[in-house]
Amino acid sequence: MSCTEIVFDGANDPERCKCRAAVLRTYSALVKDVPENIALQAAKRVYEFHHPEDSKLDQSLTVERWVQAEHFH
Amino acid sequence: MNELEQRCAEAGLKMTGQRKVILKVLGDADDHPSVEDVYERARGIDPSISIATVYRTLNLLDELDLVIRHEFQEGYSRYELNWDHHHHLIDLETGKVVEFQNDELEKLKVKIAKELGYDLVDHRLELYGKKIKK
Repeated sequence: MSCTEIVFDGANDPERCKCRAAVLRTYSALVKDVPENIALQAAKRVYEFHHPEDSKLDQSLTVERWVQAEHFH
Repeated sequence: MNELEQRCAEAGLKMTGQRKVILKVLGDADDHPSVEDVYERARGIDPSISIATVYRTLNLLDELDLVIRHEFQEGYSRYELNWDHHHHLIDLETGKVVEFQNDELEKLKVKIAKELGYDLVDHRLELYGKKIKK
């Protein structure tokens, strides 16, 4: 698999995007106060609450991509 | 003036250059340094600092509740800055993060560690919840 290949594009799914704000809210609030990996872990837990049907891998990829897009671009 | 120096000033501690160095050492520490550790590290920044100054400053900071003094049964004290200690509750539905403090919880964590044969050095706690519908 190419590292540039989009494995899971939940961000473009309107249904999934409902939780995007919650995920990013958690990450943004926590990352000021705790190590980045802890903030990311919490954001993934929020995502999992909204989408328990996704695999752990998909949950991780989606949240990491959202965080990257929001905070590092 | 950084946040830590501001807290010291608010507590009535005059900020001299050497005290700033000691605060920097404490602020940069990711362990719990002893007086000797602080002295060695401070001397790396300002070689004119004496161990008496380090003792006096740490005692002052302790009296002002700006540091936490740990007694790890080693025969000497170790210090850490008394940061604003709190935990987080995360609202799973909205992503809202609520900060909280709880004295009972703090005591319980120390008690658990003691019962397991440890001095509590550090911990992390995040709670996740759903808002109770009224």
